[in-house]
Amino acid sequence: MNTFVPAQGFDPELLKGSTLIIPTVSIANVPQLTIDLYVNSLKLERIGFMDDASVMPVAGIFEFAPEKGILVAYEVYQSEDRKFTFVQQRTPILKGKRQSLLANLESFISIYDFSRILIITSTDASRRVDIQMTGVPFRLLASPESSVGKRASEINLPAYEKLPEEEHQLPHHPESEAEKDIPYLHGSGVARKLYGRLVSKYDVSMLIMFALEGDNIQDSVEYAKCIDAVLGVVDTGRAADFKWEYPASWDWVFGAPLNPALYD
Amino acid sequence: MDFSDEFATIPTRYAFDDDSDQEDIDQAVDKLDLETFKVDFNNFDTASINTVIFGVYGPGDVFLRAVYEGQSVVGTIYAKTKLLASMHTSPSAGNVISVVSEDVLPEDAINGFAHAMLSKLPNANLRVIVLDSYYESGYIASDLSEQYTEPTLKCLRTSVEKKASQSPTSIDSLPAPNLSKGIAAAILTYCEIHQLPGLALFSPQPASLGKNLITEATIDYYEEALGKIGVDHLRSDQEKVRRAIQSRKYGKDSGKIDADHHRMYI
Repeated sequence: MNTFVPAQGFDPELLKGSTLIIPTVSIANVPQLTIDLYVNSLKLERIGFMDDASVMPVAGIFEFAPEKGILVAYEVYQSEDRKFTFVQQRTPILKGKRQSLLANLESFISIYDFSRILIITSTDASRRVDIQMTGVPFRLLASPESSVGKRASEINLPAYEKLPEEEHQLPHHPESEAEKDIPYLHGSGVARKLYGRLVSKYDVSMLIMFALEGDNIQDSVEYAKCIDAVLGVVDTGRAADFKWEYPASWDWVFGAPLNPALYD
Repeated sequence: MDFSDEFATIPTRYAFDDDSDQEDIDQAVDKLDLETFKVDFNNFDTASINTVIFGVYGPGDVFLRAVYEGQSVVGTIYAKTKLLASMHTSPSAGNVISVVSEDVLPEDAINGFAHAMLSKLPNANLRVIVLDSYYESGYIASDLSEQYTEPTLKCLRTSVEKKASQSPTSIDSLPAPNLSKGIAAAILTYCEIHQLPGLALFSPQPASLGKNLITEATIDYYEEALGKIGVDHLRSDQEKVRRAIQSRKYGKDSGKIDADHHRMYI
């Protein structure tokens, strides 16, 4: 079921031909932080919502434009030039609803004819093997013939290494044929399932970052830069004076400031 | 810390692994879909309703119980055989319906409940008001003194509500990064997506001995704020509020502490 509800005044035809960037709720929440970094820095327009009962609801002030009401858990943004469409999922998927969310997302993709899809996810950095310890903390899963695959070769973005999984690390449930060829990514949420659903039908790639829980603000900046190196989201015309702007809410991401009265 | 709480989530590093949820392995079926919720208005004319006020379980439902004490119910919302909410109205404001939560809604029922309730109300300009709260202990503000400066009641307004002429500007917005969760968030989300004027009022709940309390001051804020947004007919008094608080069963969400709270040794 397509759960996309366009914002008032937005023509869904403008989605056609754009590059779709989908974050997954994954370890350290780096993909989600990255999307919000893009939204705030590029002043992306909220073009609609995903009216999907599969995610936990949340609501807060729309800090990117307070006059515009509230932000919610599952939204869609687009760049000014209409070339890039971003999904933002701010909350986890409800228990037992993953298949439902994946099916709805696939339906959204099938209806609006995106030119290509980039899934951005993160995986547990503590599970890296020796060859993954050095170099950039990014990997790509993409066909070498795809536009993203070719660009990755130009900038020497490594492909995700195919490693023999240890028996206890393998998933203990039946998998589709497509999923069997996809490396197991610890802590990546539904990225693997989503990629498996789409890879045979669409031009889809998956960008993976090795991450650990902690202060991931700088990780999100690095991730945004990597996405930009691959896709060129930031308009090169303003690249010279462009800088990433953190959302105001990130000032207090670890809680309120200390109360000095505690130490009186 | 309330030791009756179950551990909320599995450790974060495993929470994002995709093989940890047995229910997803089989074809997922919405256990609580729209048909599960039975919204019954008892022959009340739903087309005439232009405002719905939802009291979230906690201070919200206490306030509405105090207002409607002794009055009959005009509608109910059931999930199978479990009563989730009851509805009331006032003779002086027949086009306003108040929905009183009977219990905390399970997390996976929240979205379905909001849809089921609001989709039954056909008025395209339906105004939705949610009475919820925030915990003072969990409130984040850049200026610590800000949360203690009157007025401490906060609000969130959807984009359509913000444009409405009667929308109050004297009530502070709930600032980022504070968020609304649960049924209040589900209702606000529905309103924002479906272009309805929606407004949630968050009254502060103080804490004592690790328990978030419902106090008379918490309730008083609602009445004052509702007056500012043109809802003048909801009046309670302190006695009714006290009775509504006292009638709640002790437990995690009761909003009150008993003499044995946190007693470790008898």
